[in-house]
Amino acid sequence: MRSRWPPPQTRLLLGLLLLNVRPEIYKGIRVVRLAGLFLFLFAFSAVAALGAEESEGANQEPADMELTGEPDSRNPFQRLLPEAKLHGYSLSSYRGRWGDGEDDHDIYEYLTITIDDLIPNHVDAELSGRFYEDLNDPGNPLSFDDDLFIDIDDARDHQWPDRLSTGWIDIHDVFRDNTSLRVGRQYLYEFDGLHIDGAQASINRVGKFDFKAFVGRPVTYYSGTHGDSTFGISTTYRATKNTKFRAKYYRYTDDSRNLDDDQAEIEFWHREGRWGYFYGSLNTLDSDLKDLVLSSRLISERWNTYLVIRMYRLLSEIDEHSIEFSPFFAVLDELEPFSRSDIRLTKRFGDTFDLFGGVSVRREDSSSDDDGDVANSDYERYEAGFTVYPNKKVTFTSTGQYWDVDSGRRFTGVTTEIDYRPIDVLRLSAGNSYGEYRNEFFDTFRQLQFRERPDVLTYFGSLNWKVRKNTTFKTRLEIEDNDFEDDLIYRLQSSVSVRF
Amino acid sequence: MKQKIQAKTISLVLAVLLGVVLTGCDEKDLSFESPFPHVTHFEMGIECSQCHEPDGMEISFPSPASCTGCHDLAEDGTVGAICSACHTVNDEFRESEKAIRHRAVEQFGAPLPVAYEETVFNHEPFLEDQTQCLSCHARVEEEELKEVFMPDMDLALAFYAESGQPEPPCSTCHSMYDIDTEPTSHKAPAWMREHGLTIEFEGKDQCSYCHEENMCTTCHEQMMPQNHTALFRLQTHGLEAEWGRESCSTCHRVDFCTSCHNQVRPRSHNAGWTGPMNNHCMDCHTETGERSSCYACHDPGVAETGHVANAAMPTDPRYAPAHFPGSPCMICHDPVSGTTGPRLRHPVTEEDQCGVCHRF
Repeated sequence: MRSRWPPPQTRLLLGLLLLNVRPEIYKGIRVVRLAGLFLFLFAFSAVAALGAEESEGANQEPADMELTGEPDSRNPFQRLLPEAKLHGYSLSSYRGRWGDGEDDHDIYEYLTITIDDLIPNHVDAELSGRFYEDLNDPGNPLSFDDDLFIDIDDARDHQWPDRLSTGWIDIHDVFRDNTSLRVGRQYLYEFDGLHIDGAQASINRVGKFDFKAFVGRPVTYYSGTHGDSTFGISTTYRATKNTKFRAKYYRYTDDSRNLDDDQAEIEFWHREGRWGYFYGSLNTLDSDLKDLVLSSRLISERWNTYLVIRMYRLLSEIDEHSIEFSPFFAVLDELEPFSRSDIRLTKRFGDTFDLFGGVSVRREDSSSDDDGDVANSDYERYEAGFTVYPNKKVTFTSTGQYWDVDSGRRFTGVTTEIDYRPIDVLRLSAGNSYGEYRNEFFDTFRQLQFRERPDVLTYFGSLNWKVRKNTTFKTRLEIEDNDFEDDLIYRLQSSVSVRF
Repeated sequence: MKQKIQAKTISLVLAVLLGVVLTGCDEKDLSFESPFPHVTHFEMGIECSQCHEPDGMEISFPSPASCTGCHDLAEDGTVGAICSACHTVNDEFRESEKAIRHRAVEQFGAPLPVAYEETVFNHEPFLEDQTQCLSCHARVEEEELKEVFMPDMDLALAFYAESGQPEPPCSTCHSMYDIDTEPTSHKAPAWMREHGLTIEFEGKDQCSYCHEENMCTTCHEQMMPQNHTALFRLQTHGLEAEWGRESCSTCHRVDFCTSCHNQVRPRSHNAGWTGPMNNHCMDCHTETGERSSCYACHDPGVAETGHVANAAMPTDPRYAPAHFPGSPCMICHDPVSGTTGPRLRHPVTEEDQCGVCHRF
């Protein structure tokens, strides 16, 4: 019998070096590595937070400190970049889920570090992202039957990698005030929240105008964007203090689908005193009018009422488009033109009682209950609820909603929650939520009508404790009882966040 | 008919609600009605500071001496008229005294983000001349006994922007709120549900006073909507996506769906899923052979090779000659009226789709 090469000891050494060892050893190494990472991040955040608090209390300038001859107590960061201001946010979170004989335990770490005045008055920078670790590797299941807790956002043995959310440098006010060039990974909230690796330039307050332009490669965590690109421009006109208009255009090139989409949009905002807020937008997609939005928020202090009225109109059919404009076509087919109107009213009675309710109505243009197109439906949605404030420490809220969707589909939901703040820094909540779906469908081949009515009952309790001015501890436990599982499903999430 | 009745009912409800609300849509907001005849005094050239003297960082409410400096109350017999202009009115006006001190404007409801309850504004640098008072407290001079306008944060920031000065730290005006202390609006029960609306109406500018730009995504990754239960994740999200996919698009793009469905088999796709009596793809993905059909989740190559068992075609020479491309399948295989061939045992939408799976 021929002996295997290399010998076992060498294999073990090589395995350790390459971390390609037995899973349980590898898992141990990962847990230690993770614990170290979290300890480091937590200590870093805590030290930075304490430093921030101390510096708030100390008015003495660094230069003055040197003149006094006292030892320089500044941290290395301050010594290296004395003018720069480092601040940020760290959130360490544990999420555990278990039920039906299965369990899933993960740790997530979110970290945002911002440096203002990296070069005084001209350069800022930010880095943020998410790390995670799966504490119990379930292998590589392919079905919900194999693993109850499959979730594309779940920490899953790094099957889906850590995330870099932002990483940019902002160069501003160099050649002219109110100008900026931001380079790197960034969100473009003005352009439908696009997430890009690229550059954005802005020139603000040119008279009553602001201008923006960007170019870059889109970022998404769920599919490849190799070969994709996007660019756009916008201008905002501040007509008055209470009225502004914006015109924007951007193109999204989706290489994998060989699609180019151009969206142009005009938006306006107007505020009338403190009682009226109005918003409107008109979009075009490629050569078609796409949609129209009109919404208003009306507030009456005299009547203690708050009213939101919103109207959305999809003006043309949308089918296959780039990832940015796809109406989930791949799984739901075309989105047919429709109108949806929403109205929601909140009224306060005295100091102890709020009543609110609303209606949403969706109507497809070519609507017919029996057209078989379940992905383009008419519906009415009703919502009502109340909040009681028996005293300043306790709040009780109950809401109910009912969806009446064509083709025999319904949803009924009720949620109640009681909130107790014994002291300013502590908030305790408990409640439950019930939802029942009703789905009817007709099998045309077998000529049979089917009906399913799954329901779900969830109990939850949470604690929110502001441990220090910039440190918060939160924990929430949910227990879910639904029709499809024999066992209860538990979900526990605890987090510590530090702002520094 | 049913739709007409519903439309009428909804229109009626909307009209009533709108009427109720609009009747109360006065622009009372944060201003308050002062019984003091400001305009008369402006016209006489009396400056604001003659009555509203600086009191530390605040502006004081006028004392009786402010009146007696000009009015001989005892002699002109107007004691009652003049004094009662301010001093005999009800508690509401005494409350408005606090408003001058920027303290007692009670916040209404959840979504109003502005409250002066903890605001202490240092008036001193602005007291050089009367014009500067009016640059913030506009409308005092417009009409007799009218509102005294209280400025808000937008106005304050606009002042700094227009004057070219950098924005001051929060503590310039705020004694309590800062980046680590949430405003009252955030404590309201409805805030979690309704804070998204404020973004539509006011943009993210106000959020960015305190929050980092990526705070939205960081928080929403951690705190999913309440309806995203295990049942929702496992079973019912498809149902909700069918009737309201617009809601999904608030957070998700199409690759979120397809990426997950490509990797994770739905519960319904069990061992018997491909059996001919099963509903199979056709219930959900009706356009066989189109990108939106089975190919939504399955790569076309995989889908075709994975279904070779279903591609079994007749080998009997009696029937084989009939199976040429374009032959009318349903003449023989119609599930009800099929004549010679085995009757179809699974649903189809159009006859020409047979060739998508079955080879000839």
